[in-house]
Amino acid sequence: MSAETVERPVPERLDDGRRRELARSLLAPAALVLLVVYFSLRSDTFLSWGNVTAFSGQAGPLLFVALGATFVVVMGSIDLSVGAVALFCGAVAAWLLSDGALGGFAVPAAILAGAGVGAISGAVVAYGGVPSFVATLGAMSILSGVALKILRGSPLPFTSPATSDLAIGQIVPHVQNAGLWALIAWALFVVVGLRTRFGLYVYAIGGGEPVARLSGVRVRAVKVAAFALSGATAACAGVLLVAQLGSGGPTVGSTLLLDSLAAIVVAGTSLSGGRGGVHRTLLGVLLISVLANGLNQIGADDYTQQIIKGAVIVGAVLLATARRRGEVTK
Amino acid sequence: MSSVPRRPPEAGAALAARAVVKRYPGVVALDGVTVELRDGEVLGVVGENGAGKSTLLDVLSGVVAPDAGAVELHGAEAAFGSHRAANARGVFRVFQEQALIPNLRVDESLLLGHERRLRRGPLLARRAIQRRAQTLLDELGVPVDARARVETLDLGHRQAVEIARALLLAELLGIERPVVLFDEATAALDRAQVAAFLGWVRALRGRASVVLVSHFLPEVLATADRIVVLKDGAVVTQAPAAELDEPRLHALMVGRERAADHHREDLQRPAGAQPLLRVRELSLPGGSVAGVSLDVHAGEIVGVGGLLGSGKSDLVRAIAGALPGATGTVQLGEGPPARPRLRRLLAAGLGFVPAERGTEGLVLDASLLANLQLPSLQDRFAPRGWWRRGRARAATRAWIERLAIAAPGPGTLAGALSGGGQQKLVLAKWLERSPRVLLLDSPTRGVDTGAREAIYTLLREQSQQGRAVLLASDDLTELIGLSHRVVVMARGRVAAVVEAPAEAKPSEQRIVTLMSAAPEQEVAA
Repeated sequence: MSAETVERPVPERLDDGRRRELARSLLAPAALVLLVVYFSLRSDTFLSWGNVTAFSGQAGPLLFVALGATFVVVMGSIDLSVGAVALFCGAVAAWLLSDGALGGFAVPAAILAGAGVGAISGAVVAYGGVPSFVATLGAMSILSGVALKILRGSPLPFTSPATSDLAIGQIVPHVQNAGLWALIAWALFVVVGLRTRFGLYVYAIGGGEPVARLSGVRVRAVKVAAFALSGATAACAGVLLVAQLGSGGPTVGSTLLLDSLAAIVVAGTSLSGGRGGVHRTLLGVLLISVLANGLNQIGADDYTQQIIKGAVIVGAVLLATARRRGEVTK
Repeated sequence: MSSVPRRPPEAGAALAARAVVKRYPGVVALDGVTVELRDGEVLGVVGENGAGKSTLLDVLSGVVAPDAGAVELHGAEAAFGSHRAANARGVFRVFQEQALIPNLRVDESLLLGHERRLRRGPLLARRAIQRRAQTLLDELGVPVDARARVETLDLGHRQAVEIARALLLAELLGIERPVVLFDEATAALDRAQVAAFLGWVRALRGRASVVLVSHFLPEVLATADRIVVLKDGAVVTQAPAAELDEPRLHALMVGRERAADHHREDLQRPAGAQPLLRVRELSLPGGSVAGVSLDVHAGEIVGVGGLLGSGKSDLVRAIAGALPGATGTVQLGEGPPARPRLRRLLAAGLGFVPAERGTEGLVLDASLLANLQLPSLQDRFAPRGWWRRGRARAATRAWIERLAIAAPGPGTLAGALSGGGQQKLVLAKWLERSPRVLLLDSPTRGVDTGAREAIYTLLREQSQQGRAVLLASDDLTELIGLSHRVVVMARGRVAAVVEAPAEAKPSEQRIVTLMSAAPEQEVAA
């Protein structure tokens, strides 16, 4: 350990790490291609324009949810309330739209409500010191209850051509607007995640919260902001879902939590925080949406889909930890 | 491993490392080390931080496989793979950090993981366990009730429980003479505890073969039969303790007598008159810091020394504003005196290097770039929210070059650096901000010799540039060598302030005496 040996460049291992990193980043795209090939062989309709349009409508809300949730996961926390926030904000939007009082402001109001409840969860986590899975599990139950009260347990229809157009119109042919907005939002969030102070702070907190705190980062404020963001994107998903249906229903968002978590994890974002990111999440959303859409096309029932998605999440995390174990951690 | 020079093991070697080589990224931790532990003896292992002591124990206890060479247990090649497997063969390791579970009883702790050896049918034979545990503790002369919970014992007695555990398990496993490896086992103990602990270690002579790794030379000299000196991953000396003394060991470890040039005393200049850091009546709830006042002037390095539990580490953290509930004031330069708050102080020109490099200083799983820029995103690298990536990269590159950090580029993970490299990175992260006041807690702990000297030189430069440096350290030579003044803490208070000008450095003996002068019964429970 003389000065000479210490100043030697760090050896081969880094390259090994990079190679492993590359293999990891190719896994998800490979799986996506395989799935597309498999489903197009098994089903005549899978690659039809009609299905592409339907796919964009399904993947759009999921991508929205996954965007904000990814920030929370990178920060080393988890937001279990995303599905309930979507349900709640969808119900709020449907209620405001059927009431008509706020007119065009119904949609922004619903999104703001989502950001607000997210911020409250974030504050409970950051200032109350409650673990995020507990805080958001509670929020999930509360918001589901409130939403079902608003809806009185049954679908709440509304008539708003503009709102419907927001989701199912096609500015780009064969692509529902829901998918288009989600893609635009993704691009925006990638920039936020990789090129802004906020994004860098989120990574730092996920990698080592005490380090961030002792470096002068306003950890608690960043946490509140990340949860607010997650609430806002879940609200966007809820609004798009009710706009697609033309009514706020009690089942809106029921699959979003599982699906978004699966998407985030298979794309390679670590549940322990600090690794991965929103740029990867798009791939995960495509993968999970193709899986769901394809299984529908070949006639698999909901229950089968549940089983497969659950297995995908656990499998992805297993794979990730297996890879971590192989790495040299000193 | 076929290239290992094999020779017949000496009669009576309980455990031996033969030509062991172990490399980590950037360092050769062990470079062909051959060490023999004779049956029934106490073997002391000493060396500076980074000399390879811990790695040697890792290899001997089987948790780390050597890259070359072999470990032999009673003459037969051994590769344990885990602590448990090593235990099964009669090799036990006692750590500096406690490996005991606080809420278990002493007798339960003694048997943990091996309960099936003492049971009655499907049930634990609790009475029998308790009796055996108590008998053993009494034999060793450890005044502990086997029914007590571990958390009620002081650290010294907990270490004694670890010794008893090794003996009991060996007994149950039918191993006549176990091997016990002590890894800095006294580092967390106060003086009275250390004395008792060493008594118990001596009592092991003949019952067990013991390796004692320690920083504290007098301890090793008084306890060991033979002493091995490691330096830079190689054995410098292997000799009977009776033939060695402290200065000689020191010289062997460092490779020179306590050298003034090591701490760059030639660069020490008289401190300026202007106080840059003024601390007044600083206290913490719980009393680990109680009414401390001190000044650090421009161009001055003030060292804070003290035994474990003296509050020196808490003092530095409290000044930085990193501990809640502090009362009293901290003043930076001409700023107003106020209760210390971390973010305000950082913004006013404070840099804080915490003790725990891996968990508080750096995000090991992030790049050098990400770590270096973290405190400066607010005002330098993303002042308006947008990341100025190019600037941050350029700054990181410059520091990599300036501090000779062994990394290919700013994208390298901090965790891939050696301990010394990591510490340089922590320093760079703060120096990038040109802080007026630098607080450091144990900045050279676990840092290799080369990086140490680089850090000393760096701190000297900072002080020459008129910055104020406050440094808490367990390393006496460093404390005395680097500092203009040494503040000795005891029981949360300033026990003494010793001037240490370059031409008249106080002796280590004097500082040690001052540290332990104050009664310290209540500390380090």
